[in-house]
Amino acid sequence: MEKLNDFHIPTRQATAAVILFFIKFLKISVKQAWPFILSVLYGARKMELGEWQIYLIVIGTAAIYLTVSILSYLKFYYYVKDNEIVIEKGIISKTKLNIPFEKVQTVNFKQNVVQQIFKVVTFEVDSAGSNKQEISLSAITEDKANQLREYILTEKQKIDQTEKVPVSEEQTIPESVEEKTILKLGIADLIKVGVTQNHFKSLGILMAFVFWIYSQYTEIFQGSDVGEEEFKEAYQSYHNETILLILFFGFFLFLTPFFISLIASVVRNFDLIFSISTDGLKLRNGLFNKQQRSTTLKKVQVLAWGRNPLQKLLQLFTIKVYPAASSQQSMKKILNIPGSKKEQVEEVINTLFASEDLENMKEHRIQKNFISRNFLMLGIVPSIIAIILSFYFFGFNALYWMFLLPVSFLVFYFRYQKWRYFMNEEVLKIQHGLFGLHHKLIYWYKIQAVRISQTPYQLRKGLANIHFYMAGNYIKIPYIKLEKAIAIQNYVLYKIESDKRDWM
Amino acid sequence: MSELFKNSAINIEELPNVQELQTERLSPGYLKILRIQSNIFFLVISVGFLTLLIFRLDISNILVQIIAGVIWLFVLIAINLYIPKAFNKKGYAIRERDIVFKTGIWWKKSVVVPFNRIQHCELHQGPLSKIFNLFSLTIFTAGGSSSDLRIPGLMQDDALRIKEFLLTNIESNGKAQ
Repeated sequence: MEKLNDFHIPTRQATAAVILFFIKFLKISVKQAWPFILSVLYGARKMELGEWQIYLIVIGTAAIYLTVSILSYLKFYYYVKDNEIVIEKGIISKTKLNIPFEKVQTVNFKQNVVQQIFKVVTFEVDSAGSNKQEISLSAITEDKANQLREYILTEKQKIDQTEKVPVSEEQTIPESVEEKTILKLGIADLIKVGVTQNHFKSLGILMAFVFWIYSQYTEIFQGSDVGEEEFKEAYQSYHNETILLILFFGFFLFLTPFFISLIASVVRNFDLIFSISTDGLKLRNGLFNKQQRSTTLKKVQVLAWGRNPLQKLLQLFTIKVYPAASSQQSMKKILNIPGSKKEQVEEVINTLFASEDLENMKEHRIQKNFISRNFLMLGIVPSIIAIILSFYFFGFNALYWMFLLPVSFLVFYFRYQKWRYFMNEEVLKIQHGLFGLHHKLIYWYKIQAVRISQTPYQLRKGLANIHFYMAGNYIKIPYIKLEKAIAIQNYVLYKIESDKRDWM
Repeated sequence: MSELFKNSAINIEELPNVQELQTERLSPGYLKILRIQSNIFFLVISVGFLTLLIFRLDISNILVQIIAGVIWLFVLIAINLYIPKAFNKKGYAIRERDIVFKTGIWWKKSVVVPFNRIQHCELHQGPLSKIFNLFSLTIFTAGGSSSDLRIPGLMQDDALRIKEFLLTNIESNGKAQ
C-alpha cells in the first residue's frame, strides 16, 4: 500500500476520466436534444450538404466535446483536508464540495462497462443531515478507491469515538469485521428471478415507449409527404392478413415484455452477492453496471419483503432494505435482494430486529368499510360515469362497463382480506397485497412524523387513516377506528420522544 | 385500548392526547389573505368561463343570463362563507416535546412532528403576507416533503419566537444533525 497521506495532496482522477467525461457529455446532449439532432440530419439531407461538410460538423462537435472533457479533467481535484473530503471542479465557474468525515454516511462503488475496460470505478460519498450532499468521482482506480474508502472510514471512526462517550454496548466499535455471505445468485436462480418478475411493469414501459416514439415520429415528420401514404399502403396490404397481424401483436404484447423484464432482471442481478457483517448489510450486483450498495444496521429505516403469485410458486421472496435517505434519493439507496428464500428473510429480520419477539405480536385488521367505500368510489361511481359518457357513442353497448363492478369488488375484497398489522411496544409490522403478499417491518422510534387523516365519510363513521413518515419511505394504515388511530399516534409520539436511541 | 400494546408498562390512556388538544388559532390577518386569494382565484375562473360562454355559446336568452348570474352569486357567497369556517379549523399547538398542526372541515388532517425529529425550519413571507406582515413557518423532517409541517399566518413576533423555541429544543432534544 502507498502512504495514506497522499490524499492530502490535491489529485486528479485517472486519465480515463477524459473519456468518461466525453461519454457523459455526449450522453447528456443526445438525451436532451436527439429530436433536434434528427431534424438537423433530416434537414442536411434536404439541403444536400456535401459529405465533407457533414464530416466537418461531426469532427468540429467532437473536438469541442473533447476540449471540454480534457479541461474538466484538468480542473477536477480531490483531496482530504481538515478531516473533510473535498472536490474542486469547474472550468469557468468553480465549485467546491466538501463533506466532513463525521457526516459521511456511506461510501459506495459503481462500475459500468467503460469503467471496467479502464479498470476504474465511480466513488460515491454520501452525507447525512439536512444539507444532503453527494461527492462522486467517476474515474478512480480500484486500488485507490479502496484505500480512500478505508482511510475515510477509519478517520470517521476515530472522530466518532472521541466525540461520543460510549454509553451502551451498542456503541463500542466491533474489533473484527466479519462478513457473512447469505445469498449468492447462480444462473438457475437468475432465470427463476427473471421469470417471476412483474411483467406488467415492462408491458407498461414498452407501451409508453411505443407511444413516445410514435409521438416523436409524428412531430418530426408531420407535414412531410413521405410516411403517411406509405404507411397506409403497407397497412392495406396487411389488411387481408388480419389474423397474422393479430398474432403478431399478441406475440409482441406478451412475449416482448416477458423477455425484456427477464433480460433486464438477469443483467441487473448478475453476480448478486448479499452479505451481512457486524458493520452492516452489503449488496453487490450487475453485469454491465456493477454496483455496490451498503448500509449500516442503524441506518436501516424499513425492512420490506414480499412475493407475487409466481414467486410464491417458486418459494422466492424479494427483500428490500430502505436505508435513511431523502425522498429524492431513496430509490437509489434501496438494497433490492430478489430470489431470497425464507431462511434468508429470517436471517435479515434477525439481524435488523435482533432482540424483538416478532412471533407473539398482536394481530389487528382494518375495518370492513374499506371494501364498501372503495367499491363505491373506485368501482360504482367510475362505471356510472363511464357508462354515461360512452352511451352517446356506443348506445347500450356502454353497459359493458358494468363488468368493472365485480372486478373492482373482488379487488377490494381480497385486499381487505389480506390487510393485517401487528404491533408491540417496539415494532410495527404490516402485510397486505392483492395476489401476492407484502410485508413491512419498522421500529416505532425511527418514525419522523405521524399524520391522521379523515375523509368526510370516515369522519361520519368515526374512522381514520394513519400515516407514518420514515426517512425514505412511508407507511399508511387505512380504515381503522379513529380512537385506535389516536391511541397509536399517542403511543408512537411517546415512543419517539422518550427513546434516546439515534434513528440513524 | 390498553391491550393495544401487550405487556406495555405504561398506561396508554394516560399518555398525553393529541386530539383533545386546544390549538392556537392563526392570526386574523391570515383570514383576510385567504379571502383575497380565493376571491381573486374565483374571479379569474369566472372571467375564463364568461369568455367561453360569450364566444362559444349563445347566451342571448335572458333566462340563461339570470340562471348563470344566480349560480355565480351562489358560488361566490358559498366560498366566502366557507373560508372563515375553514380558517377556524386551522390551528397549531406546541407541546413540551412536539408540534401539532390541524386543518380541514370535511377532509380532516393532523400532523405531529416531535422536536427530536426536526431537521430544520424556515420562515417564509410571500407578497400578500408581506402586506399583513405575516409569516409562514415550515418545519422539515427527514420524512420527505409530505410530512413537512407548514404553519401559515403567523405574526412576525410569534413566528420568530416559535422558530427560536424550536431551534433550542432541537439542540436539547437530540443531536441536530
